[in-house]
Amino acid sequence: MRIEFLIFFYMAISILMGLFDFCFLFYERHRDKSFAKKSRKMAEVLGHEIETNADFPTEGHKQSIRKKMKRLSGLESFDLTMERFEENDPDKSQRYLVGIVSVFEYLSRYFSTKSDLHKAYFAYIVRRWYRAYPASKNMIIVLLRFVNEGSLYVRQNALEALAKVGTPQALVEAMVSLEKFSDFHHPKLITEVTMAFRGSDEELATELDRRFTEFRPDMQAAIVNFMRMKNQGDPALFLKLLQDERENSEVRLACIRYFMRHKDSRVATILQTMALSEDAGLWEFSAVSATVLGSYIDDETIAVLIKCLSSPIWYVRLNASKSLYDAGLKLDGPYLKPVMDGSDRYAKEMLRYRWELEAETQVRKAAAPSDGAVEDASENSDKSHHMVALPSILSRVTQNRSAASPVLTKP
Amino acid sequence: MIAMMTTTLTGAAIFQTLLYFVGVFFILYLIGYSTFLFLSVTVGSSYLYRRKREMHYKNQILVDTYIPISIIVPAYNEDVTVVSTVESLLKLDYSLYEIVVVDDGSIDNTAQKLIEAFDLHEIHQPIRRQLPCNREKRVFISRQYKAPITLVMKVNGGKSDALNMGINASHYPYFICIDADSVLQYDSLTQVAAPLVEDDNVAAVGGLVRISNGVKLKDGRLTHYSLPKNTIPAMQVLEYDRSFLSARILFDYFNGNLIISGAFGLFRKDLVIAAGGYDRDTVGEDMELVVKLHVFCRTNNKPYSIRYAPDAVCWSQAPSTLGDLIKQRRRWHRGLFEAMTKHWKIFANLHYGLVSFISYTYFLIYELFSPFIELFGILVTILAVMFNFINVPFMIMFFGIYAVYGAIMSLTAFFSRIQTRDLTLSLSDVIRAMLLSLFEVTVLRFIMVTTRMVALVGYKKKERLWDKITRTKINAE
Repeated sequence: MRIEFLIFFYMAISILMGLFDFCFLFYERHRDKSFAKKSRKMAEVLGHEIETNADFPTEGHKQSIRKKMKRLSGLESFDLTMERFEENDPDKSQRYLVGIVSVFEYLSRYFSTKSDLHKAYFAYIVRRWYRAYPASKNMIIVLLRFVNEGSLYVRQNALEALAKVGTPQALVEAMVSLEKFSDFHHPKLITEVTMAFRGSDEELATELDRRFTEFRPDMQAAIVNFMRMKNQGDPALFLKLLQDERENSEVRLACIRYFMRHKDSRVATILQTMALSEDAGLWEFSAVSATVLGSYIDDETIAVLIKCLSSPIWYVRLNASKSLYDAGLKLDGPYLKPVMDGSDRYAKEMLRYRWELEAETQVRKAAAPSDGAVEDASENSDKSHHMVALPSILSRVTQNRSAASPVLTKP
Repeated sequence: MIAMMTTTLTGAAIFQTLLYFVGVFFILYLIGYSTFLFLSVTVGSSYLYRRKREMHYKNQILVDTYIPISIIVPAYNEDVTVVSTVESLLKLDYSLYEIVVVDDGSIDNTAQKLIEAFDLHEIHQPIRRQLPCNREKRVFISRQYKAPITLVMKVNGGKSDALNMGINASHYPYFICIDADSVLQYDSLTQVAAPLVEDDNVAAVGGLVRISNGVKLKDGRLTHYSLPKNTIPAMQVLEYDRSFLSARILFDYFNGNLIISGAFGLFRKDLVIAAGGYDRDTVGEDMELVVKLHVFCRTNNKPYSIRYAPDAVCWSQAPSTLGDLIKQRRRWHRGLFEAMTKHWKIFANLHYGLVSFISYTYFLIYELFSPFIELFGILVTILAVMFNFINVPFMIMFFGIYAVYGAIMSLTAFFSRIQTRDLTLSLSDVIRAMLLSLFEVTVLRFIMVTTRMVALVGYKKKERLWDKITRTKINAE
């Protein structure tokens, strides 16, 4: 083959691509104009109906918007237009949305055979504007199918829609089927979905509890996190999981953190033992226990935390110092003075750092009381489910990897 | 006389045969390069268009994933830009991150400016030495901003050394390293973290580095875009789009990226530590680390992916003088040489799959050896012309076709990016882009070839230098 022919061929394709760029530019300009026109028309149609028939939109109107919303651009202009109306007159808009629930029901069947791009966007629109709670059986079936069959974005948008319009049973069913039919869906996303559930947290927790064993460990850990943040769950079950050494470490760590908020007298001794464990392979348990022990302060716990200051593991020392600070101890007080006067340089260094750090934080808090951003997110704050102890983040990162690479678990 | 003629004829025949094989070699070489360029531009452009449509219709993760990220900013004599860099980092639209600036023994006022601007207080922070680096002198912190700021002043040891210190001093399980003269776009952390929730085995994510010369930014948002007025950075805009953006999207399809730009990349900290961190004895620490991660994960049979996120944007200054550009490219080529030779075992190694047979081979032939191959080509062409073995008009036409081809590729990548990022260009910029693309292929490319050819002259192993490029303030509010 003569190379110039190949180059000419490539060049021709590239010129076509260049032309495509220009054509696309003009197409986009045209589309923008056309979209603006469509949106104006949509605004007129919706505005008129909301004004005159907010409670009982007419069949003719429903048919008209059903047709428009079959297109992505129609869905988009509906989304933007409703956003404006909701701002201006939220009450009427809500009544109108309830009146057009059947339009969404119809569209759910239509979009269930479309591409992933369409499905994901439709699920997003359902989350925002579908106003039947709980959703109809058909809508639930379609959303469940999206969760089972779609791309990551379809799955996530459908889960978020279910969290908004689904029953606890429907959401949990979606989570279970996600486990069965999907390769990977990040537990953080699952936690976000459960946290955003619109219905009763208690009912959701009961359903999750009932089907707990059907989930894989990473999902179980996400569920325990949800229970912790929403003050739900059965402490006896989590205590049992925590003590079961055959249980997955992610789940056990989540259970330990659960008892930071939900104090249970049976846990303190177990945590003390874990915090003092010298098994390097269990360093995450020691580190998280040192944090959680901050919620179980008594003389015995203080003695354990002081011992933790001499741990060879950095995170154990770091977390123990935080728990001791939060316990209100002083560096020159009876508990910590011996450490500060002692010979363990690492323990002294960590205590001094912690007290300086907290002093800095306190000064800033006093100077800017409204600024909540001064929280030390890196360490032990339990104010939100996102601000978890560092070892727990690390452990999530390294989960299922420890066996393959021992060096990764070395503290 | 006959013997002389016979000898001459035999010599001519040998030379002609040699030329024939050289010709075959160069045809294969050009087919390889043209095909690569073609694939990267077409695949890259189509990806950008598809992604634009997907994001427009909410095919993206919209919830905050709260993945904690440490931003490490190594700095050496950066008192002109470091404060504005940190200010821009504080405006990022992300919920959980910290900023760690490592002052690598600057002899200007880098540390002082930071301390004053952000009211930093000294603290006795014990630093966990998980990676080798020179010792710290003082540590300062501030907790009064959206994200905690830490300044570590250390004994000078080079950029890799500073980055290792930053990793040691950081708190979060993922870190991003950026240059002290760079500005992250407001949504860059969200975008660069997106692959982490899509795939559990992500070891690193590269962001898109774009040239900030000529643009205006406000709170990390682009408010004005145009090609830089200066020709040198303007040509680099085209070069970046063709060579970096498109090629990295292509490599991303088979987990084959060997480079994550030092100006903006996210890494999983535990893996980087396990792999040994940044090599303190290289000038191309960014490439070396990525290649090392490939080697580490494959050697330990760990599932991993090294991803590229073109939606995560970092604005960085490009050298604005030819001298600075030559310095930069010289350093890049040395870094390439070090990374390739240090990890030569990847070459033609089945265990590394496409990373070996496409990525490594491409970098070896078309990046590392290309200056020498092209020099050889020029010498052979001169000899062939001297002995009248070449059709000169055809040669000129061929060169012309090749130049136009390269220019069209650059323009396709450039306009695709402009188009998919909803940027607008003035007519004069469009015309300039067309002219500059030809100039870049015909002139700048040869200057760069020469630069890379002599890059290894005077090369010393264990050279730990910082770039000495003239800095100006980025046009960012």
